Amino acid sequence: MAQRAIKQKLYTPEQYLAKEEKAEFRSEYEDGTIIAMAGGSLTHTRMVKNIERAFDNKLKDSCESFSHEVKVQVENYQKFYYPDVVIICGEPKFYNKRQDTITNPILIVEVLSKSTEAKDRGDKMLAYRALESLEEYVLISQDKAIVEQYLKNKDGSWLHKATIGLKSKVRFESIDVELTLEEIYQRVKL
Amino acid sequence: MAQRATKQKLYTPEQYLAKEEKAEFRSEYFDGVIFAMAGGSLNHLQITTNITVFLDSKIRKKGCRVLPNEMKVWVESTRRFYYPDLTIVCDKPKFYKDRNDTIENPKLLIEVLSKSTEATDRGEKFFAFQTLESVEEYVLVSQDKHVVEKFTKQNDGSWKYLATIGIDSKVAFESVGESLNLSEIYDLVEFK
Repeated sequence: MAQRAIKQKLYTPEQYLAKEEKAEFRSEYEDGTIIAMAGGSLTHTRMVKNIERAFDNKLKDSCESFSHEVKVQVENYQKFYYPDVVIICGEPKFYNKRQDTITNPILIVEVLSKSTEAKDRGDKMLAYRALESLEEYVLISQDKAIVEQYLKNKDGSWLHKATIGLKSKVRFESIDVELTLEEIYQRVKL
Repeated sequence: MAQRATKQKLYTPEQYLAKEEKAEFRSEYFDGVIFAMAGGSLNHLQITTNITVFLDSKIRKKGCRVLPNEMKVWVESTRRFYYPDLTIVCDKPKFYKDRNDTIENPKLLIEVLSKSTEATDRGEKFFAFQTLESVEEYVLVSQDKHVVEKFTKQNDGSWKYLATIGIDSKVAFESVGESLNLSEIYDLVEFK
């Protein structure tokens, strides 16, 4: 989603979280800076809904998906992000016992927008790879049928796989769920 | 490097190449559209110089060479001409239509990231370069932090991603069987 920096003043994580509790719109946090998030386009929102619905029907009982409202904290990187879709298996681990911020996602999905593509592919990938629990990071294009997966290897590297075309299927290995691209792109004009 | 669209008029590859031969600045070509390229920052240029100097001396004896970003790469599947920041060719260069200014068989491609082109370098260019059979590795070097990311082609067509972080670390370019220290890549580079 589109973002813009609102202030260059530096905040502590606690100041950010306190502001966020009362805020009317969501912001992300990077190394002291608070970055407001713009709303998503209709297509973006529709795709997030498609993905969440499809996941909900197929996820194992021990796993749960959340969209938009749950923050993920990346400790060593001083970041708080709102992924488009985040999946937790097992008990959620919270940041400082806060119910609104988790630290142990197994899978994160971002639907790419022009304004955030560089960050989703760059800074966020760099930060998320430091999350011990994360096994899969998924990037989904809005304007063409392409799903990209980063799958964690045992040696700390990641495997990048691209699935292209509406007739294809993509298997999310970390949660053992397969979706068709038709499900993901339902009602989306490409 | 920074890009901007100069014209929306559509050109054939041959018209683009003819213009490019006489042009005073370089442009890239995306499926009919010509994009002018801006110059690079000091850090950008220092990093490409460093990699050229340190890597070329190691791979030259293996029959590979580092070409600066005056060399165009043609990607047939997307009908695009690119000027990668650094193009590494081993073996004999294969030329686009016998032109000696455009090659089709790079083995390793390196881009130094700029704010204005980061999304393209990470997304569209990565996809385009993946379709070149000769490309075995694609490397992205940050110019504002000590981070080198690389994608290495696997046998099954997926790509292995590895980020190397910190000035004391070392990055192995598997496609050419050599490593560079980040202290070499970032020599003389100062962050704001």
